[in-house]
Amino acid sequence: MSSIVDQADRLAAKRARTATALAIVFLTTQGGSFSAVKPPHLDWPFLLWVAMLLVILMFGGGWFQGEAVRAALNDETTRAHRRCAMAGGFVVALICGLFITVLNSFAPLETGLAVRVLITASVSAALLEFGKLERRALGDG
Amino acid sequence: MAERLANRLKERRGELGLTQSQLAERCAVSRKTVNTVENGVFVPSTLLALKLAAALERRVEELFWVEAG
Repeated sequence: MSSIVDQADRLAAKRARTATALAIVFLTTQGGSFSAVKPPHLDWPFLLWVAMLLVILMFGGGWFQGEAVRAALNDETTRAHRRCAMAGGFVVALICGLFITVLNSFAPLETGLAVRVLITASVSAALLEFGKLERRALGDG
Repeated sequence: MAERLANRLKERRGELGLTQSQLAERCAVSRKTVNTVENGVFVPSTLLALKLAAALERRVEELFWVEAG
């Protein structure tokens, strides 16, 4: 039987790979469908995608594990990486917002599309950053 | 001048014959936390520094010190 630390390590590695893979899939699928956004239309798949990614980013998985494994899986480096990733996502959202503001002065953008671009960019950036920091920390030193 | 938190965790862990995983188990953290603290990538909280010191049977200031960059 593997120890709590081994279990937490395995789950953390899986979570880091999943975060990166999901961010790439989300970015490519959503990025390729921006032109298909037709208002007024509540895009449930997009909302579910974002909700799922935010849950992974903010709560970190391990829900079916014991308390000790969950605690090790979300220990202080993970929390620091999460904060760093959220801050990175916020910076990307600001840059994206500035870009949209400038673009809007040349070619007016639909609000729904602008928000979707902003959310896609910031959530993807945060997940990619989280995955990168976690994978780097898991490397042998 | 940039300062950094240096440590001799790896050296002390070696003296006690502990692996990173064993030290992590003693402190109830993940191996990656021990790894990043040892490598100076992550600056631990006071709580974690005290736990590491207790697990390695040393005082905190014997394991960690501030180094000028």
